Amino acid sequence: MKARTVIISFVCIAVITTLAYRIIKQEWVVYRRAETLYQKKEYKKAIPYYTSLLEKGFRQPVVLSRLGELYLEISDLDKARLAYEEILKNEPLNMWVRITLADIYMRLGDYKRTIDLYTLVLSSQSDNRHLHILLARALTAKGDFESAITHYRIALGEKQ
Amino acid sequence: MKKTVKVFSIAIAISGIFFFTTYTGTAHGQQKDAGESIVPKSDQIPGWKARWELARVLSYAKRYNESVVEYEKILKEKPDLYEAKIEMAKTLYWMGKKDEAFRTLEEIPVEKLDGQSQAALAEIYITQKRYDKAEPLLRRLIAKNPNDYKARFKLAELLSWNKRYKESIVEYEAILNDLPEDKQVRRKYALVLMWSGRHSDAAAQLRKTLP
Repeated sequence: MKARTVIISFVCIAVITTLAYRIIKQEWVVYRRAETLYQKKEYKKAIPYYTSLLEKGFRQPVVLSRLGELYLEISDLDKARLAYEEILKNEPLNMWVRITLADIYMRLGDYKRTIDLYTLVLSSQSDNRHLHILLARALTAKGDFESAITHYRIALGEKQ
Repeated sequence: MKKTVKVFSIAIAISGIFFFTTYTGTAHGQQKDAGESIVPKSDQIPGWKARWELARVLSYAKRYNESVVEYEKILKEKPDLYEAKIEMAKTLYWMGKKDEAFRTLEEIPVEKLDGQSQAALAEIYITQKRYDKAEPLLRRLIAKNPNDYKARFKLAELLSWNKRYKESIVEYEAILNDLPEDKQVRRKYALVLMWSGRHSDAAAQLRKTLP
């Protein structure tokens, strides 16, 4: 009798907990679903879940980041740009976001913005040779060969 | 009964802890933070590659001497980087150092040369009257792209200079079949017909080139 009561209690608790979770924390259910799809690399399917989360005001930083990442994965550069610009508004000091956004601008052919962003990042990381090369590439694409040469030289440890 | 209530309470407490710790809180993703390294190791650009890009940009800026110096540094480190060698040869050519460009191209196995370099090398061989060297290069270009009329035209000329008129005529006819309006090619074709003794055919062809 006692054992049966305990089992029934456990089942009831499990059902109530699950129901409560699904009702009270609906957005977390969606988030879990989105994350599962993301882990399975089903990017196109995952995007609507993350988008709906944002629409519902679920403002976890990882959601925007995931969305940006997914748009990049499916090469939707315009949407990826919007996502990363939004992230940058929330995290203006996040270097990785700046670099990613600069890369998106570069791929979109917006060399001026690419150069501006890399220059900004370099102002706080002047010894980062990788950044000098990225900036040099953007300058080359813009046709500013002389500045590009300067940054390549810096990257190669041949400061002019 | 008291025991059952106790067990029930403990179960509720455990469930509560489980609910509030597992399902709520911060979403955990693999988002990179400001403190993390911004460049993944796999994306790091090796020095030789950066130097190669520099060599290219120097040539775009028409700073050819410096460009060649950089290409030489790269090739010292990576002697089998034929693409860089071809680019260096082109830079030398733009500098007017045609002999050096030619020597550089000659060091590269033919199969590693791109079409443009093969054509350039063939042209240099032709100016040196080394037709035996130019011919296989031109044939290789034509085999790869039968519509490479420039290569076919050079081959036709080369064959005629070697007095291999029949073979030359075949090439001219192949070009004129596709480009019947090209009067310059037709005039050259007529000339070869004449050299091969087909005077009336040559005259007919020349007549076609008249306005």
